Amino acid sequence: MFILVILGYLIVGTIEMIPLYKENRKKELIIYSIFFTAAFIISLLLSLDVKIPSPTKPIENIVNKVLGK
Amino acid sequence: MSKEVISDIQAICLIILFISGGALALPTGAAAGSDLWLAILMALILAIPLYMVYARLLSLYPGKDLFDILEDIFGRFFGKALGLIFIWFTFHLGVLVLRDQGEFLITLSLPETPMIVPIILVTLLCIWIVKAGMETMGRWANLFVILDAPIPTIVILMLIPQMDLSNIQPVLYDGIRSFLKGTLEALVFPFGDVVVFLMIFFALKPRDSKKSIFIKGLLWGGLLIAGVSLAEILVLGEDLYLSTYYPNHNVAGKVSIGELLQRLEVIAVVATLTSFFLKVSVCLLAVSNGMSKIFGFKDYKILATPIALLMCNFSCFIFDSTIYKFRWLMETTTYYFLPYQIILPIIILIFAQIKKRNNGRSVKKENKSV
Repeated sequence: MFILVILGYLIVGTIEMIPLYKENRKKELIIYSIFFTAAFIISLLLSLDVKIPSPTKPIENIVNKVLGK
Repeated sequence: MSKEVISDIQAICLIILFISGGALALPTGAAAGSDLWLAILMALILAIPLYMVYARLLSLYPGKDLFDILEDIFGRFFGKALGLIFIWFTFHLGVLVLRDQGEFLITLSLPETPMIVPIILVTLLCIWIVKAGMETMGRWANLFVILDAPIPTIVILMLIPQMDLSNIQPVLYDGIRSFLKGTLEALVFPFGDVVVFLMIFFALKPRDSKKSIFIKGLLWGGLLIAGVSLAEILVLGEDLYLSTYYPNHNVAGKVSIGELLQRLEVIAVVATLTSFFLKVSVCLLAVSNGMSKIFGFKDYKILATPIALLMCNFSCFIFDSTIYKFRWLMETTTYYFLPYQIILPIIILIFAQIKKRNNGRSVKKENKSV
């Protein structure tokens, strides 16, 4: 499964990043690769069945505290 | 890059599809019980002043979007920080809708398929439409509103023989408190979600009346939602309505006219999925536009792919189960999205008005002194 994830991200990355690199847009390339790497790491962890903490519970707690429940 | 422009009809179609996006499939205003159709109509009326606020904000700064407005009012740093708050809420909204869409498909039609498959397919389509640009999205909405608005209407008309008026009587039996709670729920979802359009309506023609665009979209979309909900509660009754996750699908399956026209839920699924898709892609467009504004890019299309992939990932792990998701949607979303949809825009509008007035005064003074 995780091989498929790596392959998919490789394909998308080459299609999208090479034009940016050729046009020499450094700033865009850096920001793009930060987001892209974050997405890639989360996907990889998901495909390896690692449990990622969801932001849902903390949000629920904060809302309940503000409302005073 | 040449500036993109969409016509006012396309903008109205976008708003109609966006409002009907989640609310066609999911129950809204469920706290009001059997009066939820009334709660939705009440929310529609309350949404009119809210949409006036949005329209006023956009017409104070023609041709600009929320992020430009924030930077103009609050300065570079605070403007960007507030922009990040808006981006987070929009991102979360997109994630929730994407998750709804995946769950909708696998619970109802494809139970053996893993949930990631419909989510990935819709994510790819969303990347495509955002890369194609705002104009393409407007034309798409103009085309698909012809499909998505009449289908629920036809289904309602076909359900008339099975409606039972005693299902909504007596009106306001549960008391005014639960009715108001239902109104608030319906105001936040689906009507308040339209705040996302503040972030993408840079593409409107500067001379178009923003007020009429917002109000027309609200009336058509809201009446569609109210009519569908009324038909659902008339056919199913309160208990069955509240115990099903997707009442529209159940109702469409009950159509039976002369043993010939039966099982229309497939058509209803098509209408629901297309409007879900539009809602996700509008959120994606707003988030990538905001991110590129914050980092100072000229083109919003660059960041569309990684943000869409992040949305796809988040929607996989944000909820453990469907039941927890529905509980969260019932109890928390209303108060969670309230500041982002209602409180913050009003505060921003107040600051914008003060700033505009001060500018006007200083211009007048200069004129006088000259």
